[in-house]
Amino acid sequence: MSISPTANNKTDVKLSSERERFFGYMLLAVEDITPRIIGKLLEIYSTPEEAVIKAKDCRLLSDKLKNTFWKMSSETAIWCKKYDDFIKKGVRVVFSSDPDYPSRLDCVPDKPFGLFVKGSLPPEDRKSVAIVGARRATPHGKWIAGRIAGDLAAAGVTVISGMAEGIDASSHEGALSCGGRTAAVLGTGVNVCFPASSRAIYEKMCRTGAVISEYEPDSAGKPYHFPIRNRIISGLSDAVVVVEAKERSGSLITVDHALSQGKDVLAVPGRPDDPCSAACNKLIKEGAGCCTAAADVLEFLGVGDRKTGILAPGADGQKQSRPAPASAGMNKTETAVLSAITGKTLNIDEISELTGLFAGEVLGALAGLEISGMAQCISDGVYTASKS
Amino acid sequence: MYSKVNAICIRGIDGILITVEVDVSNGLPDFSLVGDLSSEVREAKERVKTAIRNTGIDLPPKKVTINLSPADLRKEGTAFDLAIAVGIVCAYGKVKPPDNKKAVILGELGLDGSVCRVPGVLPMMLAAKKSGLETAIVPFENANEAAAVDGIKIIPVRSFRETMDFLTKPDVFPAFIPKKSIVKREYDEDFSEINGQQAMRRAAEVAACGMHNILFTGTPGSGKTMIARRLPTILPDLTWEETLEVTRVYSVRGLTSQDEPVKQLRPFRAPHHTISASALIGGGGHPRPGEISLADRGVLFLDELAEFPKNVVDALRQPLEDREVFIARTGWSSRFPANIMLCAAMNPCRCGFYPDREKCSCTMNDIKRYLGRISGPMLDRMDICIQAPPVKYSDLGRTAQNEDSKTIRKRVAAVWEIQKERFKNKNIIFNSQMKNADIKKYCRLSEEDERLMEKAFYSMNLSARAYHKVLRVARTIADMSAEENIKREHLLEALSYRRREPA
Repeated sequence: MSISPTANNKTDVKLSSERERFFGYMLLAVEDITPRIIGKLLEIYSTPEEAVIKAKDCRLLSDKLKNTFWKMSSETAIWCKKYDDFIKKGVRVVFSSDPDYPSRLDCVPDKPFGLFVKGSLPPEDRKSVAIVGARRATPHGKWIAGRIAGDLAAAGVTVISGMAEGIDASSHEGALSCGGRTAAVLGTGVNVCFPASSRAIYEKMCRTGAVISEYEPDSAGKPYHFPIRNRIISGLSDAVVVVEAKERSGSLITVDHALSQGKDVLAVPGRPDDPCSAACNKLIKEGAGCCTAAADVLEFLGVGDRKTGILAPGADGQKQSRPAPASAGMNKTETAVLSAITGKTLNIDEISELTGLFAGEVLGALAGLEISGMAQCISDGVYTASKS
Repeated sequence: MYSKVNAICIRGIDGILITVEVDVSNGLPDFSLVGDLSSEVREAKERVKTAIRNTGIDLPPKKVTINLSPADLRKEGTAFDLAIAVGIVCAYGKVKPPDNKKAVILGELGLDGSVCRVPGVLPMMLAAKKSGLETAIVPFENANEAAAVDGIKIIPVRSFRETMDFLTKPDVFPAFIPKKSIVKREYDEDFSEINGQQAMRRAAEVAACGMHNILFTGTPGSGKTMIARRLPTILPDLTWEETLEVTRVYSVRGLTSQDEPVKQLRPFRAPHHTISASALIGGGGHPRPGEISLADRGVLFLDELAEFPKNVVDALRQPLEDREVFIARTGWSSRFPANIMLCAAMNPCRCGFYPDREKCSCTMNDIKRYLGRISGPMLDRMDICIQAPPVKYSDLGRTAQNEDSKTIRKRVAAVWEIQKERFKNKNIIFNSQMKNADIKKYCRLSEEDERLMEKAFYSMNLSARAYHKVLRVARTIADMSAEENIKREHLLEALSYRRREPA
């Protein structure tokens, strides 16, 4: 990622007319083009239009790229139709020269020449936090991610992630369920929902948050697009929280980007011997912030001031200011079971051993606690208390 | 000369009285066997002729005609051999024929004249009794089984020679004393062998009390199969009627033995997942009962449920509802009993370790696809779903006093009594069989509990079917603590046995 910042200062060419914007779009749509190459082309040719038309003869480009340009320049009509189509369908292109281009991305050395956006970009005046982690996450990890995301979103923070399954999806879900703002940066085009299992959150984010991508809206994505888009995830955020990352996790790419962009990095600690959180623990050892609740992130961001209406660190959302669920209406067994599972994740046999209750009683008590929202079954037969 | 002897043929699991008519007349020497016969019955011709000769009875060449009547009923099996042989010898005038209003003859002949065992003796005897017969000549190895039916005099024979001896001197033949239930059989397994797994133990007991279908989910080696195998041991002993019903099926399938002439223990059948639909349900050109009927009044265990082909598992749906299998063929249909408790076990995902992410690397899609192999309607029929936590090392070596099957069985029997009393005027016996009207009648909830159910209905995302299932199970749990009405704790426990989607 050692690109001199001057390499792409030419990208600030104003694209005011619709015609210029269209050719800007064509530059973005070129397969395998990088922001750096676009910058160079715009240095050589004065406008995107000239670049698209003439780049097929540019000696600086590889044969493959030249071929692509040659083909595209002869098919402008088709591309024009495509462009009109998605604009009509509500996809916006935001070029780096546009006033609403996220200023946070300025710290990204190879910031995208343009972004495709479905929905609305994260507001500049509000903090935003990226939550990233394993795709194959444990139910507990997903639950934690969802909770932190929800609390952050409730505090007015935009939650940014990559819509992958596991931690990413849970973070989006957590934020959405609290009615908060969340944005996904995709490795595919914004019109493509990948993975298909994220369909529900994808639809919701298109309406209430944002789905962002630097690739052509209908692009199916390539495997190497996903690590590249991580720089935008960290770039759009003020801090990055890592939940559950194994020793060699892709989330660490996001962390590297975040560090080089000068963003804060926090990690949710795991058990010392838990391989699912090995990288998280390592990050904390190396000086990353330790995050056990949303409040820790808010503290890192320095948004503890009550005057701004944003939560003070330590006061974990309005939820805690709400009177603690009274043990009224709880019977003895439920109280015993609740105290056993508070702060722990246990299966029925373990609870029964701790409380000395029969399995049947434990099962009943858990169902009761679950209905009243005080306990949560985080996966088959494993329970924990809802509030920590 | 002409003679007439009784035999019995098996259709499905019922016996049908057959008359073997033999006519010996002068004319060109011939030996013909008629009466809609399958190939094994036609081959009886060779066995019978040779067996008679090897017994030392000399038959001069004559025209022999044998008819098995009714002649339009397809006859299968080898149980007619002895009756045909006796008929021939009688028709030749060598012995006095047995009284065909009183006696029936069963048995397969060997070439040396020995009499071999045949399947289906119990239903044959039941049919004989129904037709008012009094004496039965049966193969020696089937004698104990035949003696299970009261009111029929059993004459066990080892060879054709012995049969002849009986026919010539019926009075000197000693009366057969059956070994009926001399040996009280015990289950090989016991619940006391299970350490830990409290939740599964409890769920198994609830299931046994109401004969609810149960599904165990859990990592490999967590004891799902172990508990399933012990399920029959906590079911109350078979009543005599049930014994006859169960043995009938086993008898037809040839699974009874001299040592265990009648089934004393609740059946436990665990077919492998490569089984075909007709082997599970029953079938064939001349329908034979399948595994589900062999598990009648007991437990049918499907290990690795997700590995069973979808069509095989789905074929279980109708028999589970009707508690019997109905197989129709042109001209004939059979009904087989299927009063079973279905028990299934499966892994939570393909590798089996989800939600332990240290070991499981299945994607959520993999997991959903794996669970998707089982049809929703089938899962809907599982009343109790319970997860097996991995076994702890400390539980392995423990030799603590665990509750044994006998103690649990006593409690289950008490709950069965309550249900018997409740449903005495209905055609159901267990809570799990309650229809919606019964649920309305027997599962009344207090106003407070109604509110709880309403809350649960929304917060736990229950379907209407799941709602009724919860009530049935709650009824059983209430019966277990001998409560007249369902209380909150019963309802809550029942709710905890519902199925959950993977998070």
